[in-house]
Amino acid sequence: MAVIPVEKINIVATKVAKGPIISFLQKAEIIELREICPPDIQHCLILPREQELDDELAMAEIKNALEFLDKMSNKKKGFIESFLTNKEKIDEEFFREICHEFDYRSIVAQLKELDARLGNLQNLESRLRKALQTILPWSTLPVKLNMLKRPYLCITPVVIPAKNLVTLGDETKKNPLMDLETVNTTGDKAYVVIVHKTCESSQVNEILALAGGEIAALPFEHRTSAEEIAEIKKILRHSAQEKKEIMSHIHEMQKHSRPLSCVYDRLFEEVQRSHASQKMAETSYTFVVEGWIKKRDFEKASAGIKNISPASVVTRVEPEKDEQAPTVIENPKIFTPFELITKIFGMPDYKQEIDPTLPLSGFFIFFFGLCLSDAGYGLLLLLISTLFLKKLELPTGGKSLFILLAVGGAVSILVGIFTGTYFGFDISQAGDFAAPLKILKLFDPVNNPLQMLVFSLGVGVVQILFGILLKMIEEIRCKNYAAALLDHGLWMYFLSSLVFMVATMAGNPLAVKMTISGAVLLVLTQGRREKNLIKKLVFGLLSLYSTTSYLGDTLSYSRLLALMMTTSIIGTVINILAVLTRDSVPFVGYVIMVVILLVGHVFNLIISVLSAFVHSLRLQLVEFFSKFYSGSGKEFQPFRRETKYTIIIN
Amino acid sequence: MSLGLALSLAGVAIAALFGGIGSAWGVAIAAEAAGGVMTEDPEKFGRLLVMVALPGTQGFYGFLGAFYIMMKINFLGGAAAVATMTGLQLLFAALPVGLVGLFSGYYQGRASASGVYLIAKRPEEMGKAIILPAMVETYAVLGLLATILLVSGIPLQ
Repeated sequence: MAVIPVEKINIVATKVAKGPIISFLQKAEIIELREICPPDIQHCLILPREQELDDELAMAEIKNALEFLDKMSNKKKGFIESFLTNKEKIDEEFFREICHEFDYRSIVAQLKELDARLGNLQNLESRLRKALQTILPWSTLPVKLNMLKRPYLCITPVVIPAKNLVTLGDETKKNPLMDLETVNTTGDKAYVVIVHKTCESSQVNEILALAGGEIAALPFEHRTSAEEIAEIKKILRHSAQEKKEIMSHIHEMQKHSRPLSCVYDRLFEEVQRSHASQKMAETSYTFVVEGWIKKRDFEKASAGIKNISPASVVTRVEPEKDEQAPTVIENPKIFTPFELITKIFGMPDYKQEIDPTLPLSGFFIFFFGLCLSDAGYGLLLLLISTLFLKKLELPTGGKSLFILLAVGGAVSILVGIFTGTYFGFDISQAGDFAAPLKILKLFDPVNNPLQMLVFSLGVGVVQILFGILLKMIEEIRCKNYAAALLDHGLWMYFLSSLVFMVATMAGNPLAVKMTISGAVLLVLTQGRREKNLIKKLVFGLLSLYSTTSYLGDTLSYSRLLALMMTTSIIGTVINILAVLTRDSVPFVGYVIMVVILLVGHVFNLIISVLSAFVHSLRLQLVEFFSKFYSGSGKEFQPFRRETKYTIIIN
Repeated sequence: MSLGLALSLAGVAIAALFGGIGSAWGVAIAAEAAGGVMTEDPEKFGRLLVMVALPGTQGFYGFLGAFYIMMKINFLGGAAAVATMTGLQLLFAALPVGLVGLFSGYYQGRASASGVYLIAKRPEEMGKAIILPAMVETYAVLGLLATILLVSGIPLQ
């Protein structure tokens, strides 16, 4: 249950063994590499950078190809699936084999070409469709399209709102050498041609401006409209056919998606090695690795490296001054899901802080249970979470989350039994068959909220005092005995006597005396860092003001009551609504009742679980952590094989 | 219907009304941001939905406050007579959950929208993105609590 000790390791080995040693370290996942560039070692950084750039380029191309395949596969991801890992498990040996044999370059090139062809076809289609739309109304125009505009005579095709047709007719009649012919009318638009002398084109434009029409942009082709339409349709048919072929080709290519993923991860692995290699220093014949390692892994690393190259030297080195060591936390297996919460906030500082996972776990899960506080919902949540854990392939974070939800559900069952709530139904209204459960109903938050409020605040006081106690332990571990006793010890004393006094309504003389003595001691000690006597006193007095922040923190725990009531009252409302519809709707009343119950309770469960989780989390991160924890540590990130698409198993 | 009952029902309406408006407003702000993010990356839908749902609680708190007052005067079971002064008290008791819900819903929506952008760029930081809007919600919870304590303390008759 704690922060695991780490130390700095230094490895010097011959360059011949560099590849195997890097492989070993990557597989063992025990060292977090540190970059070294010491001035006294000749730093001949002739690394195969070009190879790395090539690899990265290839990775980008494979990624594009895979995304293209994915887009074309028409696989819709469900809501739940979007939370899941999409990595595919694959055997190491098989993985190597695929990477060795598979010619990814030609596949990527083919896919690229297919993508380009598909894009071109789509462009062509959209252009043709647009052209078709323009020309379709002119299908009855019997003239070849390139004959519309001649040196002396023009046939100008015009689109005009049907209601303006009369105006246009009147205007053209003014010129005896102009004629108007309607070709087509559809809806509110009329398609007409104006026959006029070419030299009078500007006059036509004026008339059109007056009548609100515009010249249609027909293609200049050696065909009539009808022929042109047929031609476009023919091309469209061809293109659809070609698209179909491409699609079936792509469909066939889908089988390459797995080998492509493998090659991607293979190259990714190479790039990671190359990055790792750059962190190492080299001489003509040797190379040096430096990094952090868990103390207990040192021997393993040393033995492994000696095994590869007996001539290598593995030593422990002192960290430099002010060098921050990375933090690894380790907890008993049942508590590891709670590390999720610690990681959301940040890892503990390696030197000064304790791992908060264990202290927060009990509070978190208890608060979650209190907020959900319904035996029925708890059971449902437990079942659903267990089902998810069993049936779905979840990433580590997701697994932790569902374990937390399952345990939280179990705690909610207990809380629900004590508050007598089952799917929003109050057990005290049940018949005699539920007598044993009725006895277990000890709290009634809905009808007696004050009792539960006091309980919530009480839980808060306990957690806050516990937080101060943890801070005291941290200070003692860092040998700051004065701070441990005078700051945190005194505050604990003062706050607990204050609570004692409030609880007894200031009726207990001992409690009053304790509180006053605590306050006096705080005033006397909190200004001890100041030199001036008056300053000492003023700071001492001001320190008492911190009481308000403790008060605020405590009141924040009232949310436990509020969320408890939200769950149970909304559950109750759903039940009442269901019964109302059963009684008031004839014939199908029972059906509607069942629907309301199902939908309503599932909905309430989701909303309540979300609230319960978020608010229990907040109480840990804000109210509890602020007492003893800064989370300023850096997580230990060992050099290891990372993959994007596959999970490689040995 | 007595004036007392009418005033109590005004309280019921205020609680449900303002809480609901606040949440609708906040959810809409977060949903707009989420929609924008999904134009680039539709696969984030699941994560973003949680962020969009966060400002939705004020509506429930408002509804809860409303329902608590209805239970107090036994409205669904054939309303009891409510004295005018009691009705006025219930009306005032509804204000905390209603008004705090209205404003905290709006502001939580804005905080959620920022969380949505955070998830857009760093999906692994979802835990932190959820916690920040929850800070705003604290005050809605306190408003609800104030209403519940007030309502449960008001004597009928």
